[in-house]
Amino acid sequence: MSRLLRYLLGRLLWAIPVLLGASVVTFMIMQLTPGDPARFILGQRASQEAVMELRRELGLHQPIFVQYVDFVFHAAQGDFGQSLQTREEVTAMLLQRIPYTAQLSIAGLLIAVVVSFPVGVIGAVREGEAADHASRVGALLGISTPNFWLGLLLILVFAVPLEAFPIFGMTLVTEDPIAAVTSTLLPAIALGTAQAALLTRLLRGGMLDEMQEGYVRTARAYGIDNRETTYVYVLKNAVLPTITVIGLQLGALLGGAVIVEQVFGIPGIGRLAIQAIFNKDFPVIQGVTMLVAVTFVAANLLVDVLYAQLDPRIRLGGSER
Amino acid sequence: MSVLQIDDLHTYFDTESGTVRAVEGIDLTIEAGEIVGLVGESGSGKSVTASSIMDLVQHPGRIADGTVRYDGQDVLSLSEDELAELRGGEISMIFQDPMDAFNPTQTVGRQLHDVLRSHREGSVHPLVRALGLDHDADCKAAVVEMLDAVGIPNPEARYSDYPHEFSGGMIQRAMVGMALLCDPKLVLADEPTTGLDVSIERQILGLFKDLVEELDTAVLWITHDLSVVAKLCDRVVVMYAGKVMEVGSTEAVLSDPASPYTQALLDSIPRYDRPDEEMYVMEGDVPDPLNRPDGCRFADRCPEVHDRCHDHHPPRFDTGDREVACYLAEGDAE
Repeated sequence: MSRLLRYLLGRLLWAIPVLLGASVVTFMIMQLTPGDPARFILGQRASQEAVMELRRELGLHQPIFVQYVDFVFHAAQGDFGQSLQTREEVTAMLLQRIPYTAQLSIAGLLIAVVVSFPVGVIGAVREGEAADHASRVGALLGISTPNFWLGLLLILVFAVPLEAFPIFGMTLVTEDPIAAVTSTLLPAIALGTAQAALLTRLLRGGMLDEMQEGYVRTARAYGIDNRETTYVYVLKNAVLPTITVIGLQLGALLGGAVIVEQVFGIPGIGRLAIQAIFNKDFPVIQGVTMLVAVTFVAANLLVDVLYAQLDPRIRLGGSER
Repeated sequence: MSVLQIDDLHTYFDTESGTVRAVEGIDLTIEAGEIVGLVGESGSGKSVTASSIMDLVQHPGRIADGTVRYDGQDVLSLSEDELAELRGGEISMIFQDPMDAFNPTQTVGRQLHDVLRSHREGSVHPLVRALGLDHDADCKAAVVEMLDAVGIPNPEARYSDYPHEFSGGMIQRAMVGMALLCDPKLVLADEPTTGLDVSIERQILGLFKDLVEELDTAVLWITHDLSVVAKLCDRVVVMYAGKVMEVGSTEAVLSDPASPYTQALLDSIPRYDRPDEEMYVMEGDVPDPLNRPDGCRFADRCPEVHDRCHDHHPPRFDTGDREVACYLAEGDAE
C-alpha cells in the first residue's frame, strides 16, 4: 500500500469520531430546545391528539437513544428526513443550495488569497517602509470591518449606481459565466476581506520569521540571488502554516457566508439555515449543521494531505529511516 | 600579497540598551596555503569577525571602522552584486550549526547544486533556477562527487535526501562540501568540527589539510578547541572580548604562551594524564559587552594584573615570534 494511501486512510479514520461528535451535538439541537417541537409546529390551538400523532410521526415518543441511532443511521445515508415546513426532502433542499454557497465561499477565498499574497509579501520585503505601513493599516481595517456593513456599503456604492452589478441574488457559473462573475464579485469581496486581512498579516509575519532563519543567511553567504531566496524559498516556507490556517478558517468563511447571503439575497445554505432556525425546522437545521461539519472535516483533510506533500519534514507520517 | 588582510576592524551592534562592541580593532592576515586558528571563549567576537570578512553583518550590526582586503581588493566597498560573486565562490563559510544552515524543505543535493550553478558561467535567471527548470547534469555530477569526497556514503542517493534525514555528522560534512564546491581561495570555518565525534573530526581535519596542500587554499579556523588548533593550524590568533590578545605561530603560542589569557585558556583544558589534579577554573566572567572596562579587557580576571592594566588596554608588542597585547611582554618587545 502506498504511503499516501495509508496516510489518507489514517486521516479518514480520525474523521469518524469527529463526525460522530458533530452528530451528537446536531441531534441534541432538537432535544435541548425548550418546548415540544410538535406543539410548536402545530400551534397552540391544535388538539392533544394531533400533537401526539405528530410526535409519533417524528419518532419523538421513542427513547432518546433509539432516536439518536435512527438519526445517525439515516444521516450516514444522507437522509435527514423532511422539512417540517415544506415537507420537502432536506437532502434535496441542501443539494439545491450548495452550489450557491460553494460559489460564494470559493470566490471569497480566491479574493482573500489573491489580495493577501502580494500585499503580505510586499509588507515583508519592504518592512518598515511606507508600503509595509500601508499594508498593515489595510489589514487592520479589513479585519475590523464587519462583513454585513461592508456588504451594504458595496451595494450602495457599486450595485445601486452601476447596472453591471445586481443588487439581489446570484447567478451560478454553470448558468451564465459572465453574470456569475458580476453577481458574485461584490458578495465575495464582502466575505473575503476579513480573510484577506488575516492572511496578509500571517504571511507578512511568517516571511519575516523565515528571513531570520539560518538558511537565508547561508543563501546570502553563498552568493545566491536575493530574489530567488525571498520569492521562492522564504515564501514557500512561510506559506506552509498559512495553508493550515486557510483550512481552519473555513468555519469562519461559512459563518460569514450566512450573513453575506442574507445581505445579498443569495439562496444558499446560510439563508436556508436562518429560515430553518426561525421556523424551528429541526430536520433542516440538522442537515445544515452536519453538512458544515462534513465540509470542515473534508477541507482540513485536504489541507493535511497538501501540507504533507509540501513539507518534507512531515511527509506522510514519518521518515523511512 | 596576502589572501586576506584585516586592519583595525570594528564591528558594533546597536541595541536598545546600548552599543555592543563585538569586535574592537582586530588585525589579521592570512596567506595562501595557510591555516590560521581563531580561538577564544563564546562571545569574544570570533563569529562576528568571520561575518565581517564577507560583509555579512546584518542590522542592527554594522562595521564601524577598519578595512578588509581580499586579494588586494577592498571587500567593504564592493557592490552587492560583486559581493554575491565573491561569496560562495572565492570565499566560503562553514556555519556553526549546519542543521540550521540548510533549508528544511529542499533536498541537500539541490541546495549544493544551486550554489554551484549560481557561480558558473551562463547562469540563468534566478527564478528559472528556483523553479527547478535548469537542473544541470554536470552540476549534479560535481555535487555527488563532492558529497563522496567529504565522506558521505552512498552520495547518489543522499543527493535527494532532506536535511532532517541526515545525522549531525553527515549534515556537517555536507556543509563542508558546500563550502568547498567552487574551489574557494579562502574558507572561513566557524567551529566546523564542534559536535562531531573524534573519528569524523579527524576525517574533516584531514580533508582540510589535503585541500590546503593541493589547492593552496587559505583557511580561517574558528574554534574554542585548542587541541584542534594544535593539530591543524600554522598560526593562532587568541581573541578576548573583541580584542586580539596574542598572535603567533601555533607552536610558539601554545607551548609558551606570553599572554596570561592564553595561559588561562590552556590551563582550563582538563588533563587526562593528571586525573587527580584539581581542574582549573578561570575566575570571574567575560566582561559585559555593553560595559567593557577601559583598561585591559582581561584585567579583572588576570592573575598577574598591575595597576596600569586598568588604565589602558595594552598595545600589541612584537616579541619576534609573536605579537602580545600585554604589558608583561613590553620588556621583550623588539
